[in-house]
Amino acid sequence: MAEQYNYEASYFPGCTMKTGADESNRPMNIALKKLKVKLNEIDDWNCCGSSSGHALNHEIPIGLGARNFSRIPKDLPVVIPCPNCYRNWAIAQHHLREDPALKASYESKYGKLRTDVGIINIYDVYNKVLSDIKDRGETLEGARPLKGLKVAVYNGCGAMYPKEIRPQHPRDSVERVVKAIGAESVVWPWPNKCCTAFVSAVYADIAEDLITQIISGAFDAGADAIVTSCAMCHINLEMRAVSAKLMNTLPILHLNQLMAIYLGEKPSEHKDWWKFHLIDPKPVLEKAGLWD
Amino acid sequence: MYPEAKKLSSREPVNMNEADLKFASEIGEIAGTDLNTCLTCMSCSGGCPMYAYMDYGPHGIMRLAVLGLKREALTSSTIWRCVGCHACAAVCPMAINIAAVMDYLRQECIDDRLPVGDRPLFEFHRAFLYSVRRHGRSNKVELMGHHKLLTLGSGPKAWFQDAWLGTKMILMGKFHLMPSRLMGNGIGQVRKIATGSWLDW
Repeated sequence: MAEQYNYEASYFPGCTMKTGADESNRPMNIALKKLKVKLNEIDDWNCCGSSSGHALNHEIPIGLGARNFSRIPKDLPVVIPCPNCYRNWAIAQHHLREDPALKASYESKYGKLRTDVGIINIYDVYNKVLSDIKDRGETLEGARPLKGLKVAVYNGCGAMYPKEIRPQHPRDSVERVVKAIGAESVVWPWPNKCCTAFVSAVYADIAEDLITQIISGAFDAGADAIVTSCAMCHINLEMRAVSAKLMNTLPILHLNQLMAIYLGEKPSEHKDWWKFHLIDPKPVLEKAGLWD
Repeated sequence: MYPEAKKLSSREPVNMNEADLKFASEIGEIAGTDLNTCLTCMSCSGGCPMYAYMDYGPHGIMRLAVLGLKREALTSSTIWRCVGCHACAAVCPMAINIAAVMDYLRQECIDDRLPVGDRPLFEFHRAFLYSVRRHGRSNKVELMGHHKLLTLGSGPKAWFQDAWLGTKMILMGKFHLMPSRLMGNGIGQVRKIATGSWLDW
């Protein structure tokens, strides 16, 4: 019998989630299945242009975005887990909506562009589903609040937008999810400091400087771990914490992992997530009593 | 590896004979934002994660643009060190989209064939877009290899940077070696989009 889903959306994984970041992808699929959300991956999507497209030609992200908009099969919202992809999509959508001539020129090449669909991030999905369940007065079967886990919520650049595309969801969306699943979110100085994105790949010393600041900020605030929703931030924070040989480093967890653990997954059974981590999160999860 | 910062305050007196007074409005038209409303409050530089590693910083670039000192702005390292995180645009009290201004300046620098303020970062963007042109999507392993080839001249430190850690992460399976590709005529369509004067640099 086909599975019943309460929610359905289109899905744009982005290059980082597609070729790497399996430690985030796997728990996300588990969590979404348990929350009865169905995501249909957009067929034949292309790269959003990342930080480099708009750096060299401002038409690249709009063109790449237009092609992606033409691939969306239904008038359903598109879930984009990567904050950078999200922003590129939103900027492309803004330009295509504002300028009908531009939209028409791309429509002649790729067919109908569904620029009216909503663009949402993965934490919007979690917030929506969790608040719907709360509103209905139901409880999730098998859910266990992550009591005792103190995390520093790290948005990176994912909460910052120019005024044209400032989204409806509040800036503390990730924090809301973390609080809703019972973890404690510490107050710390750098929730919105950039992880240096591509600069990390070119100038390791600049990235090490900044990421040392970020991680020691979270450490000084008393966090046990840093939680991020961005796979790129995860790579940069872990790589540079290791290459800078930090004494007091914290494990970097994905929001998806916390969500899956909240929904009843046993961390000890998921070697297939933790083997992709450079910093082993086991001691922190054990301390919080979540390693079983 | 990165040069000493030379901040705006330590500059020689400004020579306004070369100033292009239409520069700010030119930028504003393309970037869709009005630079002349800038208060020089320096909020942008205060929020910029890369400010310590730039020569002018975002507020300096805004000033250079308003004064019309085009060449100074276009050859600065600031425009290339900008990571595009939009911290400046988010904090600006006058809601100037500073990140879009940086995009415009980088593009203008390449179009005019001026000396690039930070070559390795420019080469990274090129390597990234070449990867997109090949597969329609980017692949980190291939991109880093290509970037190392493009910046061969910048010395052994850059060449061997992260060789150990990168190899470890490939062996762990964190980075996939095989690129994820578009099918059919998709790559051709992407190739037509991902063009610009950076291609024939």
